[in-house]
Amino acid sequence: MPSYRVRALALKKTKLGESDLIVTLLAEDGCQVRAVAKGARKPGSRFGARVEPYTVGDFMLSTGRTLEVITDAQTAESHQHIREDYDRAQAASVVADVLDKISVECQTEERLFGLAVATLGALQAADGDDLLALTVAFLVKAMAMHGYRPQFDACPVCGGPVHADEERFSLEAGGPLCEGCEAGAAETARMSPGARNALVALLGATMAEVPGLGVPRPVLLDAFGLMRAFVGYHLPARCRALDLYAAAVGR
Amino acid sequence: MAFYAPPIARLLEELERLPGIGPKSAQRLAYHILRGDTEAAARLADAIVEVKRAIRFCERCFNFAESELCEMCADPTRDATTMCVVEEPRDVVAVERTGEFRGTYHVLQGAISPIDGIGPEQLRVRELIDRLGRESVSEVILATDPDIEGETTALYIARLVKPLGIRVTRIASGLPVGGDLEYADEVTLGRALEARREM
Ligand SMILES: [Zn+2]
Ligand SMILES: [Zn+2]
Repeated sequence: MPSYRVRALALKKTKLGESDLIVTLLAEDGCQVRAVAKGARKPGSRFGARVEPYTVGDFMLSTGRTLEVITDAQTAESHQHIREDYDRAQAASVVADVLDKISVECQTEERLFGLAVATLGALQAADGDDLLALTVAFLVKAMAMHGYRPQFDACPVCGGPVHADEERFSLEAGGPLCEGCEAGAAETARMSPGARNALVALLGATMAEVPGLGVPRPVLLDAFGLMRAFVGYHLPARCRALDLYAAAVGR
Repeated sequence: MAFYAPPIARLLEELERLPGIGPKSAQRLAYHILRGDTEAAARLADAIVEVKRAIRFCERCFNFAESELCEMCADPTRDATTMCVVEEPRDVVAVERTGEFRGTYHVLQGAISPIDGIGPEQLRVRELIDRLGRESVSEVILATDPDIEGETTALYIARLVKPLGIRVTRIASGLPVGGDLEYADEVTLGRALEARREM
């Protein structure tokens, strides 16, 4: 059986049979790969932490009957500090869940892997409100890469001007609506001016720059609520980690 | 598309609902039952009905029990000051087999797994905190699995229990006995080094 090597991030695992796992991987090219790790749930398995979520590694895969089979794995970055802190682990679970939902088999999106690794790398060292800022930044960037880049400077329906104070954000069109378009719009969410400015800043910053932006928590919570609605509107499956995270941050 | 007589189809359907049983295994089990004698089938059916009738969850620790309290909770010789927190009833059996633990248990009935929609609210965490308020426990041993779900659960519980002034410990993770050092993954080996002991 010919095997090939893939650099990938482990997103999720599902129990299979007595002691196997199905590991959902995000490959370097942005494709999702589901692969079986045989015996991975037994203590002393040669896989051990190498197939745990948030691990970036080099995986040797061979093509099985229905799923790929992991024949070997070497860790490049285990993201151990995420596992050692409850708040970080919670933020990382949102990242993994959203990536699981937006990545597709054999559909390349090279920027997605870079975003994933940059986000987990930033979460490793972050604390407190920075974790929330990184989570919101990840959501808006991931949606942009998924083909839903929000537009904040003009009405996304007609291109007309939008007012600066409180606005209705169209979940469908992905931006604040002008007065004319607002009338007939169905699915909208409230967007405070603070949340709008924060999202523009987060979208324009690198993950490493996000903690330095110093966006206040109430504004981050507004922006998070908006992005959660946006993600929920466009993704076909429910992100349950996002629901739990929302409950934990009180949003 | 009726490949099977309706009674067989119904049995296959029920068997396939069981964890780890696919269509092939279900077929093998069904044929085994059909080839065997009627008494054997009746014994199996009885055992299934009986276990559901006789077994419930322990009111104190949520382990499987035959009455209000499980065997461990009903045993007055066990040390009530040490509590071992595990994910599932089968983990109680695993710890009991070691013969190293004489305290009480608390079964969470799962582990935190946000991606599966399982948060602390879905587990017996509130009941654990209630017990710690009622009973005189001086040490809580967190024996959840050493994977991401188990670690996250342990972190969450430690955060809740430590402020109560109760000692919280985590079972060590390290190299499996009988294993080869060179095959150990970095995280496992790192932890084993961290938890090394004086000789
Ligand atoms: Zn418009
Ligand atoms: Zn009990």
